[in-house]
Amino acid sequence: MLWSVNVSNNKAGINYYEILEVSDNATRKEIVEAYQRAKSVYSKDSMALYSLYSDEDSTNMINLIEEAYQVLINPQRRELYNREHNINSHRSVVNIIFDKPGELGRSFVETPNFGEQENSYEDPKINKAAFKAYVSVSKQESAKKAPEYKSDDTMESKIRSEEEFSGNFFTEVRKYKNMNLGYLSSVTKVAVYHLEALEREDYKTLPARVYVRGFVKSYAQSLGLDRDKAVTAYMKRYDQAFKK
Amino acid sequence: MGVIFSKQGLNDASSEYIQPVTKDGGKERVIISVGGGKGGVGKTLIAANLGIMLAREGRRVILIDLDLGGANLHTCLGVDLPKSTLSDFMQKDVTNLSDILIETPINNLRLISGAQDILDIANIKYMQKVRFINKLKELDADYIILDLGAGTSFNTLDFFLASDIGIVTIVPEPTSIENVYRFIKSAFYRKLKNAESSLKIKKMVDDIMKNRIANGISTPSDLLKKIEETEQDIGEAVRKEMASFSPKLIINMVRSQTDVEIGHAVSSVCRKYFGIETELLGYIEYDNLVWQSIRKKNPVILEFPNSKLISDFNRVYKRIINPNIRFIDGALER
Ligand SMILES: Nc1ncnc2c1ncn2[C@@H]1O[C@H](COP(=O)(O)OP(=O)(O)OP(=O)(O)O)[C@@H](O)[C@H]1O
Ligand SMILES: [Mg+2]
Repeated sequence: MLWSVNVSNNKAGINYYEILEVSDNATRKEIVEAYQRAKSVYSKDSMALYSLYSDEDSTNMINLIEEAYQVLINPQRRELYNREHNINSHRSVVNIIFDKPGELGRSFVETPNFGEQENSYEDPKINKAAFKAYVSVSKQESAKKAPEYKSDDTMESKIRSEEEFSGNFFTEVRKYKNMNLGYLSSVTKVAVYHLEALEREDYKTLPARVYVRGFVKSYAQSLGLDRDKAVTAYMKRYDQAFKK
Repeated sequence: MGVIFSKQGLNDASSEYIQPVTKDGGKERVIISVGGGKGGVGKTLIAANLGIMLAREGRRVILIDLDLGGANLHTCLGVDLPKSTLSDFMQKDVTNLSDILIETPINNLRLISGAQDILDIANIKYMQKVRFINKLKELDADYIILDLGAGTSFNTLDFFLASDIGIVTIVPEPTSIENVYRFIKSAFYRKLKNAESSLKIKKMVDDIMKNRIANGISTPSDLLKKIEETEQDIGEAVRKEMASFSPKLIINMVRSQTDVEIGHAVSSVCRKYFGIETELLGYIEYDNLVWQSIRKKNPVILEFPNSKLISDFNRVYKRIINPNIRFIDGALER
């Protein structure tokens, strides 16, 4: 959205999290980093604005970034803002451990080694506790033994006759088979946040179609479902969603 | 697009990435295009190296030089001026694209050249284009990589939109950035245009765009807002089109950390200004080895396999074949 131009008459539609490009669950550290980044992206001398933003647009945008930061960095104001905007900012364990590529992923970030800047670049900080948890979970799960579950006739026959293979159905089967997303992610090698999006049928946050197809296939197979049937049904819905 | 991906060796923990598999009998392929609007930003270099990397891992790859008029992909691959070119196909004496395939010195990698073409990309007729795109889908390969050449002609945009993965090349210069925005914006409007009949929005879009100044439309998201005001359902449909449009960005010829950050910044601006989600695949450093290898008419990856440049390429390559590996930068990461 071109917030910079319509700032005044469009206040209601402004989402501070989107402005800073952080998730609803962002930590204070993430908010500070995002704020600094956003300020440099939208400053007047930022090359990325070239041909799109006037100086005035840039100023408006920076003001908006300041405003968003002042609210989100203050716990009371953030809480109030969340309540007013119906934003649910709970942090589940899965979120902290897997769903925060911003925290964990930094350990996988390579940074270019440009001679003169070699020393000035600070090592990305890793959230040690989350990382530990992540490592221990993945170790545990690297055995890749499917969890045990109690077989249930109704559920088994439902699985056999399934035609739709909706995201909800996947979640249901997954829970029935006592599998958590962390485990599935380790077998399928598909990131937890992608699997979650698959289950929610949140197509927008999924990557390109070719990948989604691969995800569904691996996912269905790992759940012990008829993978070809699952892919066909799921992708049909996916395609319709985009066609409609 | 009928492409089926499977995890290669699903049960093998060591294998990390996704590859296309051939369904019994059917030929499935992934089409990747490399564009970016501006000339000389490294589209050909990227397309060629990507192709070589895939081929060296045993994928069957076809590179297609759609930079008619400025074709030089063959040179990048160390192939002499080819005899058969796209011209032969477009002008109909050749029925199948496979008839103009040229072997390259690299195993598994073949080329369709646009060299010395009397045709200009902008002048390919609609029917020729449709025929080309259809025949593209009959080619026997795992990956097809299109080197799009510069510009934003309708044909170039259509080839970009016909691919499964569309890559936009940026260099950290204002001119390139301007062209990248133009390219992305034009491709999006083109996509919308192509979907118009099924979306039944033609008249509405035409009306709105006719008065675009009065309506205050300068970006896809303005258009979306306007459509949503007028008719909610159609707005929803356009929103979906937008969501399914997700170009990948590569920032080339970077010389500093600041240059890399321009890649992230462009991605942020695309989201905020256009309402279009892009993904930055990574950066490739400026390196004199490129011209050294071109002088030797040998692809840089073969000439200097252990260079930093090639490790840049490797990381970008990995993110293309496995979307789980992303170029993460704190909050800009989705
Ligand atoms: N990372 C790099 N480091 C150094 N030189 C580079 C790099 N990338 C590209 N070049 C050089 O820039 C020039 C343009 O590259 P290339 O031909 O790949 O661009 P292009 O976008 O395909 O251009 P055109 O629009 O003319 O087809 C070439 O001489 C190439 O050697
Ligand atoms: Mg070129």
